[in-house]
Amino acid sequence: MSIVEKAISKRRAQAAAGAPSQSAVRMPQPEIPVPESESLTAGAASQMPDGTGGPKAQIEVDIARLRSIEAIAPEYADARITDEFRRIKWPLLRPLLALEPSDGFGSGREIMVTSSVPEEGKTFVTLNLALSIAHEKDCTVLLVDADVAKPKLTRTFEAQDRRGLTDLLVDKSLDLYDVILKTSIEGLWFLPAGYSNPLAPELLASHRLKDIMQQIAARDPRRVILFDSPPLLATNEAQALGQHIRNVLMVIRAESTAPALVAEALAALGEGKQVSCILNRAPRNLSNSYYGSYYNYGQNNKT
Amino acid sequence: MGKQIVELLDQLRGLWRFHWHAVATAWIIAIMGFSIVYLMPDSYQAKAKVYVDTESVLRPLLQGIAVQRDVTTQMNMMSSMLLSRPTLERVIHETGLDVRAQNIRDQEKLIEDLKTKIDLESSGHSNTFTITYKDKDPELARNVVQTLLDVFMEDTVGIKRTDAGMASKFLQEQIKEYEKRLVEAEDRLAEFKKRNVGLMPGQSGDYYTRLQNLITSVENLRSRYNVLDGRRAEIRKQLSGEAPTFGGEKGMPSPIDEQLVQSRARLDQLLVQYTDKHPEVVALREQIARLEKDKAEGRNKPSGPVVMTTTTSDGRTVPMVNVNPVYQNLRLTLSQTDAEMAEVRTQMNDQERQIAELRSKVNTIPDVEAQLAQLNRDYEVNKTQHAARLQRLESARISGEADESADQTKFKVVEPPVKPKLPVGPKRPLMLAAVLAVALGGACGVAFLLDQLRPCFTSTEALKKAINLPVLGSVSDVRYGAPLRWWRKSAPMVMWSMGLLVCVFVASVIAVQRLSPAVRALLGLGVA
Repeated sequence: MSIVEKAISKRRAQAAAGAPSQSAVRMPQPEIPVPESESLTAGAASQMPDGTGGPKAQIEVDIARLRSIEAIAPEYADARITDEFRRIKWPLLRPLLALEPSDGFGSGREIMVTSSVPEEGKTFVTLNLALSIAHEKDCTVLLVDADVAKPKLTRTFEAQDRRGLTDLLVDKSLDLYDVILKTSIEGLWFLPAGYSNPLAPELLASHRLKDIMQQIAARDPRRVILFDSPPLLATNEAQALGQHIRNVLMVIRAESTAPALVAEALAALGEGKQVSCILNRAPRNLSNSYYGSYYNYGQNNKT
Repeated sequence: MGKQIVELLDQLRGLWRFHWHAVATAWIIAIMGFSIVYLMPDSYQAKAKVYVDTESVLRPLLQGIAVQRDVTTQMNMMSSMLLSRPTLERVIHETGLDVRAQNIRDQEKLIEDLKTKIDLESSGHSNTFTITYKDKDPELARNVVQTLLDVFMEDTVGIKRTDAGMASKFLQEQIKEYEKRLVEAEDRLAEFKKRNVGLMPGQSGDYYTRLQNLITSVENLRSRYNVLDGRRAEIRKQLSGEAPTFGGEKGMPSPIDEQLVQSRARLDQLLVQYTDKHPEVVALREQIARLEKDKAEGRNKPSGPVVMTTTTSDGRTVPMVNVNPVYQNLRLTLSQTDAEMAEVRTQMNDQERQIAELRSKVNTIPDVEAQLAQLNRDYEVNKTQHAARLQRLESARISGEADESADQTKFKVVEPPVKPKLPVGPKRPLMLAAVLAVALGGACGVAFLLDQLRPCFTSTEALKKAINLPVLGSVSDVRYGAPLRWWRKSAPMVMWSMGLLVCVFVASVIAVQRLSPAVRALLGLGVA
């Protein structure tokens, strides 16, 4: 069982028992009011800092199902992947959370996850990173599926029919929390891609997105927005998105992508970005194997 | 060091992407290569050894007399001559190789092949020369070597003979030329002599001596002429002034008188030419003395008048009443004197003319002498040259004969070429191993090439090196589903595949050794 699953089951038990939380995984006192509703069913509104309430709808996220559709790591590798994502997220988050909201680039809390060519594993990385950040004590995460043409994340969450990003961008009258979804995983919100629109790049490049981002930041200062964007060299949407976002996480697939393509993609991004890279699907080498086995050893002891 | 190993491993991981390409390449090359090696025809080698005897007995004898031929250079010349076009054409014709060629281009190619395939080795020390040739037909190999051997022996003798022949031809030409010159010189000399016949120094002494002799001779002739002239006048006087009759005391001259007059006249004549010591003069003086003595002793009796007719010079017939023997004698003497005078005059004129001529040539005679000297010298020179060349021709002929007769460079065939029974090649196991090496090498090469064409990142280290951006880490590649069976895993499969390849190689080696003739017979290739 994964940590997430354990946490969920404990909460369930607590909720059922009505006892104060006494779990091995301690939940620290949040600085911000944590949404009270822990229920797995949709419906309950939550209290947001600005008092507006938060997302109205909620979707269920079944880890087992995610595992079965290969959206997250299989059980035997779970510990390893989790550790790897921890190593990735902390350097990423530190500068993010230290920044003041108004920085010229949206709100400064956004991270765009992209790659040079398709099939490099962006979606996998974005999802797992989001799950990892969701466990952070000091912040929460909004996962946005910005790949309008191929909304893989939306499909993973089975939210194809719901309104999404494009709707928000087109219809200015829509309220954020009408479209953003809460998930059964604490700390994780999800914004689907929305209906497919041929003018998606223009929509993404428009000021409306910036406004949205600033709104979110204003309503929820501790929320990190993670954008799953299309590949840089495949479409212009990533470039369009990049107009507003300063932090870029470049996903590079090991033993596959040519360095020349990566260079081209980076050039397409433009100036003034904080770009970091990660190597996805890296082969088992010396550092990997040592690292993985230690935690596996630890796990075995616990169970 | 560790870092380099890590880098190397990263690189190998990059190559590993194409492991199936590599395996396929290895198998393809191996199969093709093994087949080729297997199907190659056997090659047979025919070899002949020739011993060249340069330690000849004749060499010290002929040193300095005849022209020597250096055998080593001869050998080098030989090997380049042996592989020359005409020789090879002869070989392919005589061995029947030319049936393999259908057109001119094929024939050219055949000759080129032959040139490279014929192997000539000479080991300098033992003076052995080896000719080898490999072919898939053993009979043909032997024929080629045999033909080459024959050509070799023929031509080495031929070289010498041609050389000597050429030398002698040259000499003969030279000799002819000099003969011609000699003849010309002789002709010139002869002609010169003919042209200047009177002026040749040898004929009558020096020029001046000749001149002097002529002058003296002319003087003598002149004096004689004068004497004759005087006598003639005298006789005329006697003839004309005198009465035809001689009588009286004087009357008809007596025989003694007549004889006396005759003798005296004769004496005078002689004295012009000869000295007193001349026998004739002496005899005549004695006769005169006797006659005078007789006359003094009065034995002189005149004879009676005789009347005879005689024809005078102008045709009149006069009675020779007045003719007496003395008169006749006188007249005879007169005509004799006339004749003599004419003779002397002619001689004189002739000699005077000669003198004039000589005098006129006073300038040219020395020139002529000089020219003559030069012509003589030319002639001498030509003669010596001619003689020298004759000498050399003689010498060359001796050397040629010596070569031929003694056969200075001896050739002995140590090992004649035989039809080889067992093939000498190709070395199949070796070639099979080479094919295997090439296959493996090719496999690695293909992998390497593809890696170069399609580069990638294999580790965060590589990424960090290549990109100037922070690399936050890596996400492991995880495999979903149950763990793979061993036959599905790449690495073991590749190893098994290679192992199989090696087994095939070993099997091929064994097969090549044992089954080769049978299989080849089955496939209808070549001669067993």
